[in-house]
Amino acid sequence: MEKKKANKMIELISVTKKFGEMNAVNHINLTVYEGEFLTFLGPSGCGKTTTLRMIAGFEDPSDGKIFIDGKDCDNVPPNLRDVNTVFQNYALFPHLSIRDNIAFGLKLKKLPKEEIDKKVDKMVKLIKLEEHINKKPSQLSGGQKQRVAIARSLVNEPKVLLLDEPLGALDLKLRKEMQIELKHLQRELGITFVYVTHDQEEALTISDRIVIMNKGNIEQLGTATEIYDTPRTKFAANFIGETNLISGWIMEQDDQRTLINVHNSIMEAFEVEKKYNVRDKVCICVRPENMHFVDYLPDYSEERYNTITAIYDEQIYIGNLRRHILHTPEGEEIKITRYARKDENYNRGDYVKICWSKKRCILVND
Amino acid sequence: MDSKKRSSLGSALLTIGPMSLWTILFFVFPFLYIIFVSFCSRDQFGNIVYSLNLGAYETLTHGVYLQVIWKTLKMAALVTVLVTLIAYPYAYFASRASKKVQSLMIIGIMVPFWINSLLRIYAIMNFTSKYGLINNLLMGMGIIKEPIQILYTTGAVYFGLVYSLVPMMVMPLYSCLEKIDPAVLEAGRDLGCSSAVLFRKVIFPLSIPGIMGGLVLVFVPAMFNFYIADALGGGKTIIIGNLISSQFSTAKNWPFGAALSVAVMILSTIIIIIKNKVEKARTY
Amino acid sequence: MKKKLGPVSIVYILLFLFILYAPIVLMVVYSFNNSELDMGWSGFTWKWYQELLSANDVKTAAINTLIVSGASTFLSIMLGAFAAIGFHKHDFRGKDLLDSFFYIPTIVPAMLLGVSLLSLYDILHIPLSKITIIISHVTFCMPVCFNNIRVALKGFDRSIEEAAQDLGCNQLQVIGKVLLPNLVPAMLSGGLLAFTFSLEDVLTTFFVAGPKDVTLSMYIFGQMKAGMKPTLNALSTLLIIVTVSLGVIMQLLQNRSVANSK
Repeated sequence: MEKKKANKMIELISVTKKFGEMNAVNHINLTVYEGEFLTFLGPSGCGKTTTLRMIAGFEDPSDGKIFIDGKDCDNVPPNLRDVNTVFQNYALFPHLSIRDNIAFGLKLKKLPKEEIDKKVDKMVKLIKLEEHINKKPSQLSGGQKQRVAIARSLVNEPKVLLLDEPLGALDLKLRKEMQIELKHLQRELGITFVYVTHDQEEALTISDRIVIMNKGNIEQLGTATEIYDTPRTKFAANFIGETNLISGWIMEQDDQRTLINVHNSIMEAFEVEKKYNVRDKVCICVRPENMHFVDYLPDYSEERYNTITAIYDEQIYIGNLRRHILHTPEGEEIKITRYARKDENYNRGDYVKICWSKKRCILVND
Repeated sequence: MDSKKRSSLGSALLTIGPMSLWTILFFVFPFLYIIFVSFCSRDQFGNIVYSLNLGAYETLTHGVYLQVIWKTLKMAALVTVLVTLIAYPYAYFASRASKKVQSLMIIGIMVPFWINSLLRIYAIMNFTSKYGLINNLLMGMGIIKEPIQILYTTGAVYFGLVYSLVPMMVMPLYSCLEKIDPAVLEAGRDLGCSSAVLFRKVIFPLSIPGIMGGLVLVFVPAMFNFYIADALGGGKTIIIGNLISSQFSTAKNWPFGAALSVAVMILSTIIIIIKNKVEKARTY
Repeated sequence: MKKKLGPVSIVYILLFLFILYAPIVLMVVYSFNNSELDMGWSGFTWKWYQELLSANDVKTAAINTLIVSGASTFLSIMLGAFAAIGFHKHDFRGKDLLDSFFYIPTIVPAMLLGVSLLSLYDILHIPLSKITIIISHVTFCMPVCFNNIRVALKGFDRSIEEAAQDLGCNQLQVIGKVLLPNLVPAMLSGGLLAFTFSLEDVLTTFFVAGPKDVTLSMYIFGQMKAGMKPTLNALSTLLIIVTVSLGVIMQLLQNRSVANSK
């Protein structure tokens, strides 16, 4: 939480964007701190790109305010904002050479030629495209184009770099490489990055903090571990990683524990941060690696674990892991991930006792 | 926000305005005016007398002129049929040929497009003249002994019209035939169609939009192209085109020329509407 | 189903192309014929070309054509480009309608445009001159340029303009530094098309040309009615060389602008 002491770089206050009757972005509040790598993550149409475009100035908010480095951005056109954008499809100028593409922003600022050359050369070195400097964009590969697009923005030394699914058009291997490169670049330069992606793995890899968006709302904001370990909503739990969701209702809550009725068995959670009323519908959220077979858990005890019975379906190997698929008598799917061992041997249709720690029993609203 | 809107309106007017204004001033206005003129009459010096009447249209219904219109329509229709018959196989073969042959065939049809149609008509004059290629060929093959008169006959006019309009039919037909999925034809074969049935039941119906596209490009020019009739027909073949042209030049009867123009304008509009209707009904 | 063409189809194609090209080739060949036309071949000569190049009326016609077609093309590109950019930048009600309205002058038979413009000039007491020809040509050439540029703009990735804005361009600079440079191929190919249309037009020019403003097309038309002449063959040959090269350039430009937008 060190980051929170840093300066506020971007502030969104109740920002809303309406397209016709629909709220593409719905009263969101958000602060981005200086030097952090923040990622908007969500399915397509969740409002993440629209939010980014409002920060860049390509869209005007229907309501609310945006501050960049303390300045109100109402009616400030994109060319006068101290942010630069990297587009998904690169958006390089087809008529200009790589050098001229990168120098574009500096030339507009009417910097002296020597200074432009110095800055461009430095940037080209950083992205390792020295030998391509006089080529046209159409002569470069996708990865090279995206490097140029990033360099073209960074050379202007913006306060914030906005990246709209910049790696979306690249193949998987290249994407992974570029993720690391981007992360290094951001650390080296210390510039605030605001990143948009629908790829959860990418978000987990590169971000300091992640904003999970759905239907124009922020579902959860936090570091990758925070969101993974303690998802706040069913959507967040489902969107990041895999999860088991077991539905039930609240029976009782005091300041130490919450009791949940799951199909007439009583489950206990040591989570009391969120306040519930009796009969509230909730989901218990357990990651597949935190779900265990009672038979293979040496230190099993009923006081420390919630236990249910499930019906065994099948197992799937994933490298050195083995995934077991089961279902509850009510039909909810259960996944258990364990290191591949030979001694677990269940057959389809077996009734199996499974359990999870009461400490790791996370509740989300159903 | 208001000033933003105003400046946006200003820039829209500044960019789109000139072309709109030009089109209204030099296209819409003259057409409205010519419709107006068609309801006027003329004095003995050929000046327009601005008194509204139907005189010009009455002249139009005189037997001679009706005959010209009828003859022109017949001619344009025949030319269109001939052009379609000649263009269809070429377009069809082009659409079925290998990529390399295909592009050669398309270049083959594009080059005449670039050559001034007037020059191509002049080439036809050379071609059909007394010692032109046709006569030479026919004599060489021993079909005729003496050169025959081809130039300055109605036949030459037909030849010139078909010759200059064939590319207009090939292009839309080709692009239509090219789009037919080969799998559809294979499916037809698979279901037991013979080549003839396949053509009648599958290929031809699918190519109708192409024919319609060509129809407008062929039929309408065939009615108007007075220089083909003048140059190849030796001034003996009168079609609507040269009838109108003479009203505005030598005969100095503008109201009648205007009435004729309005009549053919209506005719061509009807053709375009038919074409659009057929195209719409056939969009799959 | 793409297969080798059968012998019948090959014969058809060759015959088709033969009839399409034979008259043109014959005309070109006869421009080098020593004797007057319609008398058969009697040896090679350059003399018709020499005669052509020393004829004053041909020179005047060529200059007139350059003025008329050049000015028409220039105006068409300017007006068309302006409107296309306006269409690209703005959305308004009735845009599609205005779009199809702009194309009508190209659908209407050229001759009707000629007679109606003639009537307009008459009522406004505008004497027929090169300017009246230019006005008429712009009217049907402008939509061609507009269309070409509009198609190029439709294929142009909007985020490129946003990138320019993002890097510091105001609206005008976006047009000047990014849009226009990328539209050059489309403007040139549209312009060439307009130039060819203008060059070749007889049906409109016939009505709106002043008696002294003979363009090449009008000159050829006049000569043609009088019959065949070897110098006319020579002139036609030269014009064919010019227009076909323009066509080739146009095709190359179009291919380039398609490749560019990808």
